[in-house]
Amino acid sequence: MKTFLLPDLGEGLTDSEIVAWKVAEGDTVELNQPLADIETAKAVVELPSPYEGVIAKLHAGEGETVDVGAPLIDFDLGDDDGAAPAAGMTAAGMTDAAATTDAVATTDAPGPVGEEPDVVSAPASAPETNVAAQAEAVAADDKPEKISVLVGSVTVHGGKPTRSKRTWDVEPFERAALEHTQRRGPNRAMPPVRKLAKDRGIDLQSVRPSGADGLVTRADVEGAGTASAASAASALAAPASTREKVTGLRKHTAAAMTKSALTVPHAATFHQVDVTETLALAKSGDASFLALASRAILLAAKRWPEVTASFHADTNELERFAHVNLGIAVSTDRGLVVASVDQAETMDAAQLTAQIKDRAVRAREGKLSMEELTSSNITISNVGVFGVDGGIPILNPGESAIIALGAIRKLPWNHQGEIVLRDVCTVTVSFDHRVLDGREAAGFLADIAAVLERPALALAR
Amino acid sequence: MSITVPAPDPALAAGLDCPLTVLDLDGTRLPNELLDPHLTDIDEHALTNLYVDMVRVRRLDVEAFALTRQGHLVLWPPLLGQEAAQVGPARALGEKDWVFGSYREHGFALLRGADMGEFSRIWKAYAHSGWDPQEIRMAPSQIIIGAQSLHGVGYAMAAKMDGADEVALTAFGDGATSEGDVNEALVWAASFQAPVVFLCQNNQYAISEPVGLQSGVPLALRPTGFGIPSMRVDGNDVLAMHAAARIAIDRARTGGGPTFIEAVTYRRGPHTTTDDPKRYRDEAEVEAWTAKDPIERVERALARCGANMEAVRAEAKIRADQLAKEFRAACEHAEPPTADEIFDNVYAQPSRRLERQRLEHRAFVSSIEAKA
Ligand SMILES: Cc1ncc(C[n+]2csc(CCOP(=O)(O)OP(=O)(O)O)c2C)c(N)n1
Ligand SMILES: [Mg+2]
Repeated sequence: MKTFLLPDLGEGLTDSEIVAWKVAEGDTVELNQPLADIETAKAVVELPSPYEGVIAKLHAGEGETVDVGAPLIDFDLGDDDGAAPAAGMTAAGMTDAAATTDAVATTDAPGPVGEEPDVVSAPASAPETNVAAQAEAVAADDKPEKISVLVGSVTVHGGKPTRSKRTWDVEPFERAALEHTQRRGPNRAMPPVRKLAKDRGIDLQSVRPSGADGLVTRADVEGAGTASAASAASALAAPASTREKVTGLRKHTAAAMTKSALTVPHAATFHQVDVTETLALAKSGDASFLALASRAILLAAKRWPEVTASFHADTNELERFAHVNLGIAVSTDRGLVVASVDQAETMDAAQLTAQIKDRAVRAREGKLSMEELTSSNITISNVGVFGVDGGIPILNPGESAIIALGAIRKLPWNHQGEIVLRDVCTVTVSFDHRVLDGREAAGFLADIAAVLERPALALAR
Repeated sequence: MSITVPAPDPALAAGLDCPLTVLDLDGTRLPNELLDPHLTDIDEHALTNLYVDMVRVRRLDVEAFALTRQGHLVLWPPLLGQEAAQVGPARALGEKDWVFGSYREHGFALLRGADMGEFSRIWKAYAHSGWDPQEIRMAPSQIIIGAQSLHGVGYAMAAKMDGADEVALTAFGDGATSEGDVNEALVWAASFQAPVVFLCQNNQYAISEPVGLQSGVPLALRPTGFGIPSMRVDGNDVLAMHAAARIAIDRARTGGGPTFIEAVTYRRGPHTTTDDPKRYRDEAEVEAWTAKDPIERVERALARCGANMEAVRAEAKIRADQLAKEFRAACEHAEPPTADEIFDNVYAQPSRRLERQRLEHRAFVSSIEAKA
């Protein structure tokens, strides 16, 4: 028996999805016979059989995502000790990497030869950092996307192939009507279309594909939506609960938040701030309230530089940054992302307004670069847009402070000795208690509040 | 004072209107004034050899592609469809001549005699060069687009200065012709009349960019602006490629300077194993080029000569399968490099400082082992 582990089919991928199996358990296969269509972040590729033998077990079903290095197929090579033609072959980069480490470690004492276990357990897959999460966030649905590969980079378009006219073909070619191409196997669709179908509870297999190459298009799913909604109404009563696999950005956000919540001692402090003057300023000028609040935060961060520091628990080091890279938390269809405005302290309020707007727009379009998604060292979250006064935000991993701005409410307020209606906003700072103590966090927050209350103070800071 | 600016001279280029071809799609031999005199010795036997070469090159390519999917190689830039463009010129080179190629030159590597075990190491990311460049007279695969053209011209200039009887052939893609390096190489080759052959495999794409984006004129017209004669050749016609390469190599060897060959061909596979060409080109286009398959064309030509095709195919298959098996075995048994090897190839002569670093590194590694 041989277990084939899923190799990295792109460059540096961590998982791939089984689109379709071309073989079943019990089938006899030849070396290099196509076994499956597998979709990576870069392409749908065919997997040729690594062995000649019988398929003993398929470890994943169609539509399932398999981690690189996880068992994919068991082969019965008709040879119990595994000394078959392709013996010693295990999956891929992962095991090769393990072998490399071994080779280094045993330079002086070569180990026994030819005693490789059948399945070399893959080392833990690459840490699921935010980077991975955000990589998905930037994968825009239908926008051209630059994907870098070892030998260059490719621009891919979610929709129709685009190309410009070619001048010097040997002879013009004719494009066959691809619509009529008949495909074998289950229906396929691009990831955003699959998501749409899933969101609407439409079974992709029940949709008639109209796209090139037998692909189910967005329009196909939308068309099917009306039909299946009607049939859904007449369907049996809904089950009491359903479960679905959490994937993509949601999955990575979950991992990042869990890691941050479990490894960083969080503490928080609140302040109700009279922002009437700042709000008036925002209404009268070119700068948004969020940009003015950012200015207040940046001025305060200048006085309390630890708020942008990063604590490295593995080495017990505090890393300080020369610049304030202000992360803007943006909620998108795909989930939450934090987009950085780098060197925000060098910008005036008008510039910040433009930059923040730019980040929000591009975050929603999925067009942010990896750099922008990972370079922030302090984050601002405008939870007020959801109508709430505040909450205790969890830190963006690696950062020491996150500031939440609550909704701005008209509240009766003691203003210059009289009770009047003022615009009041609750500002919350969550902080890493290893880096900041209550004194610093409170001082930082008080400085933010002071400028928000009297924006003219900024002139003096 | 008046300045006259000469326009590129189309007379310097052959095949601009229609690529030079001697084997028709159906295998008939087309007469060609320019190429025919250089094919007089090609009989059925010689053509069979070229056929077997192409079958072996394709088999190597297909096997390596599968091995990448199976996790044995980390990356593979396939050459499917470009076999003739490489085999024709490779078989026109002399033993002492040099090849300076890109990353897609597997046909050259195989025919220059690269050891398959060594060769597999590049694409396993175990080695920077998969062969000893001096031994097979082929420089390591070049990833930097077009850089090898300068290396080739430099080598050729040196050969000329030394009076050595050596020609350099530099192979690159259509996209590479947009690089400064290739243009500089053309300038130098022309100025020094270097014994060099520029082989441009115009496979129609630089990754996803069609060649029409790079040039509004045939690529073969460009070198004429540098005063370098050129030929635009059917790159799926192994005989035309062989003859054109012979002309260029002869010219270089006899003091005639550089020649540029544009092999008009097509990359039927993806740019590399991580590319998905369906996103930028139509299947119909691939099919149109599949119909111009370089290997099938020779099969038809051989059949027309009366060759026993069954026997020829069987023979080619045995050799190709043998090569694939050898390559697979090499991939499976390759030993990963040790970290220690990093220190080997920094300088030709070991330096004291580097040796000290090597010892420090060893000590570090054994300190980890001791703890483990
Ligand atoms: C100097 C440089 N620029 C960009 C790249 C990225 N790159 C890798 S392959 C490639 C396309 C090359 O196309 P072409 O010259 O036509 O060769 P082909 O891959 O088609 O054989 C590019 C731009 C690179 N490797 N080196
Ligand atoms: Mg090209």
